Amino acid sequence: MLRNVFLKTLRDARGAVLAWGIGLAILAAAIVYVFSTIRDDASLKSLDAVVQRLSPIIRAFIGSEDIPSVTTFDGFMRIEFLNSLPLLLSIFAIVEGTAAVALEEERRSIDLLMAQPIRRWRVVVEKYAALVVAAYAIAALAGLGMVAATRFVVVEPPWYRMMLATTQAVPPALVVGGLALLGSCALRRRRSAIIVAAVFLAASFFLNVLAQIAELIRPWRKLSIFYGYGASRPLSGELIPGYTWWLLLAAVVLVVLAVFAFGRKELAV
Amino acid sequence: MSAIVASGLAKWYGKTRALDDLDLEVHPGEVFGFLGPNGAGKTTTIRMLLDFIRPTHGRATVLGLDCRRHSTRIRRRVGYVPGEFTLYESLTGEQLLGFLASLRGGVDGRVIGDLARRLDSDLRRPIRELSHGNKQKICIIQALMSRPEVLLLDEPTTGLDPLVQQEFYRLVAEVRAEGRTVFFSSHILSEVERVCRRVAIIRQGRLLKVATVAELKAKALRRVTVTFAGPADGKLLAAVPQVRDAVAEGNRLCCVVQGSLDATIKALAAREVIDVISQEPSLEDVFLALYHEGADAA
Ligand SMILES: Nc1ncnc2c1ncn2[C@@H]1O[C@H](COP(=O)(O)OP(=O)(O)OP(=O)(O)O)[C@@H](O)[C@H]1O
Ligand SMILES: [Mg+2]
Repeated sequence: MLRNVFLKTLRDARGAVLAWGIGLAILAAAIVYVFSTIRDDASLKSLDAVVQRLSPIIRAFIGSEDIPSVTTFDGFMRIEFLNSLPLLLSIFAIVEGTAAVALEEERRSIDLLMAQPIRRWRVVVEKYAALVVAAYAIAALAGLGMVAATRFVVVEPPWYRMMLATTQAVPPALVVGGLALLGSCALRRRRSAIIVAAVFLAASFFLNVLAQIAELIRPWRKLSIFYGYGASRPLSGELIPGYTWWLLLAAVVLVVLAVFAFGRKELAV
Repeated sequence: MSAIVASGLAKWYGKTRALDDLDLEVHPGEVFGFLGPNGAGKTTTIRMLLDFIRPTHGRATVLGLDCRRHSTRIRRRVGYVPGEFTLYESLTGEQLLGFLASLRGGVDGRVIGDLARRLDSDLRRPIRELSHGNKQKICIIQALMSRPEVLLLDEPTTGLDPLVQQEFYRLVAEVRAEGRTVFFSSHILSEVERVCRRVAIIRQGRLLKVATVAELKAKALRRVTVTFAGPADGKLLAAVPQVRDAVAEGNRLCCVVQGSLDATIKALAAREVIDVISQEPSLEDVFLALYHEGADAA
């Protein structure tokens, strides 16, 4: 269980992973249930019309600009659950990523770790690898919640589409996690790393929203980590081309920078 | 080849001098004391040897390897007891040592068991439940368990009770007997005297002196209080060159003696002496002696 830094980090994160995963699974199941109770309702039929009458900024906020109909299972799950998944997973990634080095320094546990014959880049990479596995585990648990709930209500998508839909929400969180890790390796205090990553997260979120309504910045929307998932149809397996790859590339670049930063860092006592 | 070499090693934090121009050589197989008061630069030096922080000037080698370029190879052969640390509190001692051992590619479990027995350390308890001294023991086991060629100890006995301290000194002596090297930082002279042969003394980031313990003690100032059967005579010790600041008060005579007490004792023999109290020279007394020496030389 504690054979290396990767497994040690995962072990430390297991409580958080279970809490997040089970929480999201219950949320997903509850939303599936809500859908099943109102799907044949006349009020759901009129929901589309209601949504269409909302002001564009509200529609952008709730993500419905990208969604043709919110009365389908696909549309309902996206607007009520899937669209917020990248944001929620990103928050988890900030907590985990900033802990990597800065928290060990603040707790003064880093001396004992680095006194062992382990290269600095390995510490960074193994901790990030643990974050990736943890984020996918949470997403998978959320997917399982959705799959489990649909066993009781008959809906169209096969189970693997639902599992893919939640796990495809992970890449944006990996970018945020990479940035959090970089902050953790480059800055003295964990708090500063949290601020940097949170500002990036908020900026990315608002860019995605505002670019849908403001003509001026519309082309910039693609720079937001939330664009790809929000504009895809994950439950139908239709992703924006290159969605995953660009995000993974950004994450890798950030991790390389983090390795570089930790290599130069003076460990605080 | 030397176990540790520092040449012109310096560390500045802005305008704060943590260490300046340290030249030092530690021979293989010796227990080398690194003595200095708080803020002298002891921790700074050791952490530069481990590449945790980087020198502003100068360089250092451990086992002939450059501290900046071959840090991983050095750390494979070095054991370290940090001066300040936190252990992973959620683990038990056993789990923590197992984790650190696997980062070293494995360690003989019997060595761990043996060390734990000798230091009276309970490895099955969660670390968060342990007292400060018991955490220190786990840290010491961690440093010794891989049987490293060089031990870097940063005030390793803080928090240990006297019995465990004695056992720890025995462990250090065994390490030396096996031809391994110990770099022992401390601010307690008597401790360094007990385990080391050679000592470096630093203060405010500057190396004051490298000497053997015997040389230091020969120069150290010690406070001596003599109680006579009759009234004390302030001039009794005036002829003894090692004595200064003699003050008579009732039956007692207080003075400061530099180096050996021999001449003083002989001078006292003419009177009826009831008691002689000679205080262990403190680190400050050694510094005073070194300053006197510097002043005399000037
Ligand atoms: N990160 C830092 N920033 C600024 N000054 C520092 C830093 N680290 C150490 N110093 C200064 O460097 C000097 C040497 O510190 P160091 O910790 O090496 O002393 P020490 O000999 O280990 O003392 P102690 O016996 O108290 O452990 C001190 O004056 C300290 O204030
Ligand atoms: Mg110190």
